[in-house]
Amino acid sequence: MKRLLPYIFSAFLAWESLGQDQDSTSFVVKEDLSVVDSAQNVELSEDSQIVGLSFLFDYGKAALALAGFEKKYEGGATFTFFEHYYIAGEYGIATLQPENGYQNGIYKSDGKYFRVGGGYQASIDAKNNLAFGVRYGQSKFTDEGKTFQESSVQPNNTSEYGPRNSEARWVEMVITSEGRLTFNKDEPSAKINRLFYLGFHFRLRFMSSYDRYPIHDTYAVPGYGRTVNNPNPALNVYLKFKPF
Amino acid sequence: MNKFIYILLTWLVLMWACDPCEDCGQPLEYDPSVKMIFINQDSIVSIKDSILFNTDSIARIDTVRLSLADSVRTLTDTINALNLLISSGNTQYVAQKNRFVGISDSLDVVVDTLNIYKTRIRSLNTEMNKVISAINGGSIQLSEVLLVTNNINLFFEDSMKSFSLPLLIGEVGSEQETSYRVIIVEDTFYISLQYSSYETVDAARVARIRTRNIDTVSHSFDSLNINCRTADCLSDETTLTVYF
Repeated sequence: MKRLLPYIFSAFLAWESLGQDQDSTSFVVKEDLSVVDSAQNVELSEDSQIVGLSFLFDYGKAALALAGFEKKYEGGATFTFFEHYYIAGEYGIATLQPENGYQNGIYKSDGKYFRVGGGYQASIDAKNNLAFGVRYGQSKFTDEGKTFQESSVQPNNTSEYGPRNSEARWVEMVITSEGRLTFNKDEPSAKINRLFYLGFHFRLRFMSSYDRYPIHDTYAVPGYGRTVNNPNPALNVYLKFKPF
Repeated sequence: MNKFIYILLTWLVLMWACDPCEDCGQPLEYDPSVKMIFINQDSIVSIKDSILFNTDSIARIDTVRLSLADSVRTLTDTINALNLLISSGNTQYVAQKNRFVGISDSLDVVVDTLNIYKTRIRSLNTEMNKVISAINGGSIQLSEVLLVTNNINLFFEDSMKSFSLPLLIGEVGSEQETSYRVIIVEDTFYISLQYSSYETVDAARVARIRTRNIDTVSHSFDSLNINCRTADCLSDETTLTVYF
């Protein structure tokens, strides 16, 4: 494990974000039921809006990119309606250079992708949401590779290919869990306490089709990952800003 | 708290999948090759001739031994008849009987000697059959192997049953030919192989340039057998057995 510190850093971020955030009001209940009721009523009334719009930023990918891993950035927007339903759009760019693309070479895949879909979400309590959804993903990218073969009896050989313009399409099943961040604990109904969420998407991605090539087939697709994995699970952590 | 530990472990396991392998991206030291087995057929023929000669000798010894045994039995009968005459007072046969007894004893010595020779010849044949088995096994020391095409000597210091001879790649995808000069003790042999090179990536993500459709162009050995594992006659899977 060569890059332990980024892992621990990422794990710490995950610790902070994953799972359901503990609802602090449940502790208040034991102390002052009337305060809890009023606070929950305020929050429930705010969550009961007909439509809502929020923006997501995948800070896990950004952290890994800053830590020197593959360059990946992703953001998205979610439009909620009738409390429980949402449609989502996500867009990302990625430069994938998987170290095990070749044992004796390098592989690089660079491109952009988007996902659109929707689903159903439910509030577990005043602070936490759980959602199930599906996405359709599409990626446009270029990939290239270079391999090396050495010999003691003949000239060394280097093979190159690309860049090749390719496309890939896939579908995803997504489970989302998020918890609302409370910045001002003294005033639960403060505006700042209703703006930000931390959460994660657990995705199970099923490749539908991608441009295939003889010998050196497409190995990694931005937004999907390695094509040798189908289905391909993934975990994304995000920060959500919900201004409306 | 347990929840966080599970989350942490899950995250670390997922991150582990991103950890680069230690030897990825390193050049691969590899040459496609054919396995060659050298059988000293001339020696085998010579030894087999000796074995046949010895077998004939054993048959002749048996014939002579049986003939001598008949003679000894005839002499024994004669001696018994003379003993009867002598015991009935015909003492004039004593000298003749003694002469026959001497001849019979001499013949017994000859039969015993023939039996000893027969045993020794049989053990000699057993040893020679072992030598044939050893030669058929192909264990041999090559004095010199020269890659004629690019004038490079290959070094095989120990006696071995088979030798891995590299195939020159040339331009990938084209027909190629590699010629070898092999010196065994004082005998010099030549062999030329033709094939086509191609590129492949295996499941372990190792890219190699290999060869297929391996065949002989010419050779100076007594005879030659090509044993291919598949119809494509691939490098690293093909065995050439040459007889000299």
